[in-house]
Amino acid sequence: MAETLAANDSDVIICDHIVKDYSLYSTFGEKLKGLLLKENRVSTFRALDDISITMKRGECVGLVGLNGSGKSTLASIITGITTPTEGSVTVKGEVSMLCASSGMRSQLSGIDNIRFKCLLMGYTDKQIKAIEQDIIDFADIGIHINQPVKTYSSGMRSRLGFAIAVHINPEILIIDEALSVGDSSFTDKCLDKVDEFRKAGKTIVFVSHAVTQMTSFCDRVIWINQGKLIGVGTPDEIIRPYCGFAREYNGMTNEQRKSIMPRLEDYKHKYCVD
Amino acid sequence: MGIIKSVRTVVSEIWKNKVRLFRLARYELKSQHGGTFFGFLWNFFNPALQILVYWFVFAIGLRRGNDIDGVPYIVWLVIGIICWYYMNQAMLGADMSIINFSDVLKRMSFPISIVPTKTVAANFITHLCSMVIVFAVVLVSGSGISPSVWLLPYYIFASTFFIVGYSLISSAVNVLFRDFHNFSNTIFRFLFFISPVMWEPAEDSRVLITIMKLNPFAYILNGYRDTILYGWTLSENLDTGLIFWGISIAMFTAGCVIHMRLRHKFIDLL
Repeated sequence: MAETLAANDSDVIICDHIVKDYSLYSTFGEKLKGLLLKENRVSTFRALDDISITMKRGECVGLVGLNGSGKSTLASIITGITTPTEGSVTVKGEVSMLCASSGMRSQLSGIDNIRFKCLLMGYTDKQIKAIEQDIIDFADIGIHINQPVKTYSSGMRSRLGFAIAVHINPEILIIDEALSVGDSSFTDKCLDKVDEFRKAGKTIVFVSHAVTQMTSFCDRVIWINQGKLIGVGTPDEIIRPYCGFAREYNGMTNEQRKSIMPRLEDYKHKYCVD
Repeated sequence: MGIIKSVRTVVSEIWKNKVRLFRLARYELKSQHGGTFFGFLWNFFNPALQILVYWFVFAIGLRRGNDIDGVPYIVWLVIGIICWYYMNQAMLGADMSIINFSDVLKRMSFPISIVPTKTVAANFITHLCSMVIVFAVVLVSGSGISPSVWLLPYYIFASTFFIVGYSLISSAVNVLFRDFHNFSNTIFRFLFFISPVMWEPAEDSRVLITIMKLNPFAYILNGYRDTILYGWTLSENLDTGLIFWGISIAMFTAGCVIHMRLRHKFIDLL
């Protein structure tokens, strides 16, 4: 076991040698054994492998990686939704994951969904009343707000979901692919809102494939691949090597894809020409 | 986590979220009745229509059922049916509660113990509405309400406590083994017939009397009828009462332990 991270006072998220294994149960008996016995003998899939990172208060950190690299798993561990198999996470402050689509009840009206979701977030009636109108204005879906959500178009759904999400006011905000919703004018509106959060000194973890947004927003970017940490650095140091890798990956055969584990240095040399 | 700590964690989570729980329950009901014209009124219509059907079958159609201790069979039956319906619906609903809430649980850190309890709360609200109908039926039938009716809240509390204990176990187990809900569905159908919902065991049947003594549902069903119709007899029910609370407390404790032990595994399995 390697030594624990030296934590600063300004660090609000400390991930210390995180490992996350998912058990792969193929039969009922295996499931039973895996759940009842402390010692897990079933085969596992390692989603995160020895990840150690820290994030400072007020920092905006981007998380990049190909599909299935473990970004969302890391995000849910930081949020406290799931627990790591090994290692520890320390989070100072209230975390909220910004999710546009989940927790919507299609039978309920837009307004009821606003109240329902705020309630899930632990808001009291008074607090909900105070932000309700702002959410309605931000979503900007007009008379449809009184209609059941099942009648909404997918764009309207995401607008409403996002409007609710950005009005929840946590100290640490995790944005998992949520900005790629709605038309471009709505996306700009959302980005403005995120910028507002940033200026208000909130810590933001930004999971996305939209690398251009990331370059303009993030102070640091973390690149993970197949559950392993490839590199941490400024957007300039990480984004171009990552994009280069992603392009190369596209052209690879399945065999090559399985065996490749990129090294930041190699890709830096290749794609960061100064 | 030890037994005491598990119980303490669950109890304090439920207590801290008691208001939120009922508000979540309200939205659950609202979403159930969403799109209907009568909306919340269905909480009254449903039991009323159900009673109407039983009245039609037993009082008009079959012309069956003698008075039970001076109370028309239909009145006796209605109390049993409404009481059973509450326990049955709440427990079956609780089985699926965590699974049905998975979209939220996967994206938010949320005190999971309030998920099964909010389902119980939703059924509790419905049950209180049904009881209004029950009292209307008792009054209209002229059977008269016994003076010990003030003890009814005790039985409502007892049944709710029993259901909450069950819900903590069933909601957790059902995440791991979805077959559980199918089993419990069948078992409740069987329990319906060995509980005094539609009939009372003959007094000379020793086996049935023993089953009724051990059956927690029988304690609740008899309790509802005793307090509403016949007057409360604590001394007569003391032994069954002790058995009931023994089972309930054991189940609640087991529920807390199972829930706490499995809650970190839920998310990966949902």
